[in-house]
Amino acid sequence: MKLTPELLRVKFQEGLERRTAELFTLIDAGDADGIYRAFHSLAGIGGTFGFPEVTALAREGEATRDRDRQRTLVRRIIATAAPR
Amino acid sequence: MVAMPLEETPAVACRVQCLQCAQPFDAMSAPWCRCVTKTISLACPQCAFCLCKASQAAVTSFWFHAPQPLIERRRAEQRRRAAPRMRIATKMVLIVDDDEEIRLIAEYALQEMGYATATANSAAAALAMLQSMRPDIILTDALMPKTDGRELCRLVKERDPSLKVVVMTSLYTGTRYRNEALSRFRADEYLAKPIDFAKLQKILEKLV
Repeated sequence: MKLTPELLRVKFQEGLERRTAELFTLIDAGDADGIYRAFHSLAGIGGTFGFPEVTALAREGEATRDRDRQRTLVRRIIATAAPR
Repeated sequence: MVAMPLEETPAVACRVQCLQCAQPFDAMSAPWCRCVTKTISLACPQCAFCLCKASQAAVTSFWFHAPQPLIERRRAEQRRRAAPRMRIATKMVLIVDDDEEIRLIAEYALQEMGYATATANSAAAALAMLQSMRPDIILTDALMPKTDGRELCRLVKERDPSLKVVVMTSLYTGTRYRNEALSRFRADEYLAKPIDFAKLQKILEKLV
């Protein structure tokens, strides 16, 4: 597979959709460890792909236990990294 | 007359000086004594007579070209000098991360920097790969399921202390963790996530 910037963008968006969907499920289930790991993973990926805002929002998600706040943060992550 | 090389290696030396007339001449185009030793004598084109320094005998029989092995050595030397310097193209980095996106972007960035890459999605997969390959550097995430990257680093260093390992993490960013990774787990470098590829490039250039 030839790696190109376009392919990386596609992979990032696919990964983001998968992770945010998973995060909503984990938040609904109240899986604190899973939520932490998912936000943590997003924090690492966001900035690496050129989205420092995603990293900042995910860091906040790591720290909070408020489910409504977590959902809001996930929505903001989706909005921040959405293709323009 | 005995000619002696001006340089230490007659195979590569081109200019030699005749001991009799003191004139420099091109060794590669001059006749060579058939005794063909490392201290081979050459016939100066200006003189009618010459003496082989090795056999201490008058040279009556010449090769009119340098012996083939010496020519080959000289050509190999010329090829080596003329070859463009490969920057870091042959260095290989093994990327170990359970996040597919991180593996992909790291692979892309490192290939752009000129490195060859291989990837593993876990420490166990990396250890299995190390049975059949030897990368120059391992770039591993710290936090992974089962065996984490720091433990991978320790296991790798036990097997091969000369193999360089860079541990990257977004969790253990404090100085204490960094020092622990460098001393206890014997990592060569410690890189915070999100990955700053300019910083990573400097680290890799320092390590290889």
